[in-house]
Formats: sequence, C-alpha cells, structure tokens
Amino acid sequence: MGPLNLENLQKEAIAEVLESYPEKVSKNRAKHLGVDSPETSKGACDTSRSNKQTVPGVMSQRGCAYAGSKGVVWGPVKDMIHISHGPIGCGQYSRAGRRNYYIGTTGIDTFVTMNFSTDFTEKDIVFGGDKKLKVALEEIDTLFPLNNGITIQSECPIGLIGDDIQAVAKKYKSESSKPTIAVSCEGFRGVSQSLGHHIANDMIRDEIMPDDSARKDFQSTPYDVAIVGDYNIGGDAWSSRILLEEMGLRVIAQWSGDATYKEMAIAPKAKLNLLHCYRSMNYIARHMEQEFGVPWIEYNFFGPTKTTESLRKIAAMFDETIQAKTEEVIAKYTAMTDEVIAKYRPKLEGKTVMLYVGGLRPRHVIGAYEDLGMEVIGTGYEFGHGDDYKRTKEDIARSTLIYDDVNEYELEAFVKKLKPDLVASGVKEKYVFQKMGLPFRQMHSWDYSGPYHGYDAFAIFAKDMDLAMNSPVWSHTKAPWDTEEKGA
Amino acid sequence: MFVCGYHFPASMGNDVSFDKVIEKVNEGAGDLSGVSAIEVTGETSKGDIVEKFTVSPGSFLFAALADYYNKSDVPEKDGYKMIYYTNKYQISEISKAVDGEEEKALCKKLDDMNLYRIKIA
Repeated sequence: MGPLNLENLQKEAIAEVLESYPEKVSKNRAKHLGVDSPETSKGACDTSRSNKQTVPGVMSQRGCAYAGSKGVVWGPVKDMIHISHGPIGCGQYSRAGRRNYYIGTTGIDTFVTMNFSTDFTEKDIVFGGDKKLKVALEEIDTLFPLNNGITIQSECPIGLIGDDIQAVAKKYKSESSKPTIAVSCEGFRGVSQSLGHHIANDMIRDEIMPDDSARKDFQSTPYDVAIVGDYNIGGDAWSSRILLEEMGLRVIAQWSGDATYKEMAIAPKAKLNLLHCYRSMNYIARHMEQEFGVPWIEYNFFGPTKTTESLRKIAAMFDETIQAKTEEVIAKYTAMTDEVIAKYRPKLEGKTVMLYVGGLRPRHVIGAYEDLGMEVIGTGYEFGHGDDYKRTKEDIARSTLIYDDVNEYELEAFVKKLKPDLVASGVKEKYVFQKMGLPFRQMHSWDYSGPYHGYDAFAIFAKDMDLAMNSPVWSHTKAPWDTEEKGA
Repeated sequence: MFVCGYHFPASMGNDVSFDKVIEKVNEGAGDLSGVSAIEVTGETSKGDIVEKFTVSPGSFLFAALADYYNKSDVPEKDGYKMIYYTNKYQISEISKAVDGEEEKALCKKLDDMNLYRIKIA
C-alpha cells in the first residue's frame, strides 16, 4: 500500500468512527484521533488532545490511580511491603500480574508477589478503618520482620470515607522506626493511572529522598548511573544492566523493578539518571535534577537500532574510555542481532502492526518492529500526555494513525479498516482480536515472555513476533475481512 | 525434516542425500525455460545494498532459487523476495557440492549474515 493510500485509509477510519457517535461525543473524540507522518509539520502527534477524562459510557482500557501507584511504581520495590488499604479485590487483582522479576526469598526478605490487604468490610466503611490499618501494620512487622518499610496504598473507599492514613503512617513510623509511607492514590483520582504515577513519585520525593542515612557513607565513582523507570518486566532491567556494566558504568540503583529501599535512597548519588519510562518517572528525575543536581536522559533499549543509538547517547555523557568500550559492546552485540534479523526478517518483513499500550511503549517499541522490517501503522497511549505524543513523532516511520485513550469500539473499527497483520496491546484487547482471527501480542507484560530490553532480548522479541504471526494456528481461522459474508 | 522447502520424512533419517533433494527441487521447479536469470541482492541489516549479482540458468543454484521464488510465501517487495536463512544455507551447501566454480563463488557470498533477496528476470 502506497503512503497516500495508507493515509487516506487512516483518515477514512477516523471519519467512520466519528460518524457513529452522537454530536457531542464525536466532537470530543475527534480531538483525540488523527494521522501523522514524519513529513507532516503539524500532525496528530503535535495536536492530539490527551490526559483528559474518558467519555462516560465507553469501554476505556485505562487503569486507575491506585494501579499507577501500587501496580507500577511502588509494587516492584521488593524489600518493602505494600499494603492495599481497602476491600480485598484491588490488592488481589493487582497481585503479581505485571511480572516484575526480583531476586530474594519471597515472604522472608522480599514481598513483591504477595498480597497484603486490610480487607475492608461494611463495618470499616461505616466506622472507619484507621484502627484496622494500625493493627495490620503491627501484624506485618511481627510476621515479616525483615521488611525494610511499608507503603500504604489507598483504594477508592479510603478517600470517600475520609480516613486519615497519613496520620496513622506518621504515628506508626515514629513507633517502629521503619519507613511507613501513606500513598493517597485512591483509584478515582485523576483521569487514569497517570496521576497514580505522579502521586507515587511525589511520595518517593517526600519520604525517601530526604532519608540520607544510606547516602552518607556511600562511596561514589565517576561512572555511577541509576536506571529509572524500568520495572524489570520479564527481567528487562537485568538485560539493560548488563549492557551498561559492559560499557564500564556502575549501576547503583534500579527503579523500581528489583529495587530495594536503600537503592532508591542512594539514587541521588548517581552521576546520571537514565530514564526509560518517561511517563511514569519523569517527575522524580526532574526532582533529583533540581534538588541534587543529577542530570537525566531518556533512552530506548527496544531493538538494536534504538539500543545502539541510546548506548552512544549515554556514552557521550562520559569520558573516552567509556565511549571506546561502548563501541566494543555495540560491535559485539551487533554481530548477534544481525543474525537475529537474518533469521526473522524474511518472515516478518512488510507485516503491518497496530499498537495500543501505555507508558513508553507506543513509541519505544516502534524501532524494534522496524528493525525486523515490520511496519507500524497505528499507535496510541492509554494515559499519555502531550509530551509523549510529541516524542512519538521522532519514532514514527510512515503515515501512522494516532489514537489517544482509544476505546474498544474504536480500536476494533480501526483494526477492521486497516487490517494489520499484528495487534500489540493489552490483555483486555487480546481475546477480542484473537477471536477475530488476528495474531496478537500482549505488550504490557510481554505475554508471559521477555525480557525485551537490550540486545540479547531482541532475539526473544523477534522470536515472539514470529511465533505470534507465523503460527500454523492462523491457517485454521480467518480474519473477518477474509471470511465470505454468509446469508448476504 | 525440510530441505529447500521439501519434506523428507523422519524415516529417511537426518542425513538426506543431496541427490534426493536435487531430484525434488528439479521436479518441483518444473519448466524454467521462461526464466532467463535470477537477480540477487545482498543487504546489511540496515538495508544498505552490499552485493548484486546474477545467477544464470543451468545450475542447481538457479533451479533452487527459482523454485524458492515461485513457491515461498515470503512477502514480495518491488518484485524481490527475501531468502529465508535456512533455505539460503541449504541451497548454498548443495550448490557448492554439485555446481561449478562460478556458482561456488556466489554461494560463498550467500554464507554471510547479510540479507539476500531474489527476483526472477
């Protein structure tokens, strides 16, 4: 399909979707949808409206503020216990689903995959749950004495009934002498999980950053860096860390995948903060820059092209020794990734992909697909802001349909119109498209695979895409547009 | 196992003789009298073309590449189809054993890690 035809088809898809809405909804959604290409000067990446309330009544794929705080930022901190304060469901359904890998003995010194909850009932809603929370905190320290702190993650009812969890945390902290951090991330706050990230970052700023007990005896080197915004999904941070260490850098902290409280506290000692997920952790990176003078840069470790670009960008912040080692690392791994491309590109070249994810992935994974010769023709963020869309412009390679907070109806309509060979999105969308006979990859937690960051991980990414698309199972089913209409 | 896209059942073992493969390829390729040459390009993983050569009729290399082009479901781009890596190495290995010096030289190129595309002329 030529670029003009593709662009026209994308514009038609938007028009058809908007036509089906009542006028007010159509006007609203029109601002969130558009088409952009590398050649366009003011396309959808510059103009798309984002971070706004979802239209009531549509099936949004967004999460809540609690998901952003507990599920994304705080949850992976392994040696702290994160208690979900409220009814049992939120804690249970956010437990271990994101595959934040960590090293440790669960239940002894690490607690990521466990579910701690105050298990609110009607009585607690009516009479308040502060006392129950205090008992739970004491119980945690009795049963799990090796924890290095507790965070209290508020669910919706806490804000509604007005429990003062900050006061409970403050009192308990003074009694236990352990960090006790109350995070008021009630699900209903804000328009998506994005506010949860922000609130979580603010609590790190207010509660962990001022704690210099771990920093004061810390021996710095000129090559200390911190990985910020890598949640170690399927081991992502580990496969990133290997490269940085081979370059000659010392990774002193990983935020927050496989992280410890002390690692978080010593991060301001880094010479450079390396920010992977800009959306969920830019707030704390900016704070560390202002408060401690630590510069930060964004990087992208998806696919060899972007990984190589990023390694050179990081190396440029250090001396020539690091730069020379970086070139050696690039040469070593490029030989391997060239083999991966030689193996998979013939089977994947020209295949089209539509993405709909969150955080950094709607733009960061584009390069990895393009390395395999695949063409990304649509992308969108669940909870992106204007600066995410502006950054996306640098990554798109052709006319691309841009959709912000796309709902299930719209995404299905766009897919039916553009007929991609692969849809890469979340678990809520997965079975909709697989039942349509379309290959799908769940790109929130790598569909039980990964890691996908770094050179080694590219081999896994390529294999996964090949398995998804070229599996013989697809010859037994047909996409709707390949199926003859019956009874017409 | 599959060699050059043809199935050789497990009962034949892992050591399928080249003769049997050549027989299947020639049979599968059929009449190639309409094909005057096969254009081959080699490119790096970034898409920079580093090799360009033509394969003339009359060799196993020619028949196997033509057969691959006609039968493979690899997507076509500007008339070219990328050769899948296993097929590339298998074709090269057999051609080096049965074809002449000219084809042998071309096959040595096919053994590298570049990406090769073919087009029937």
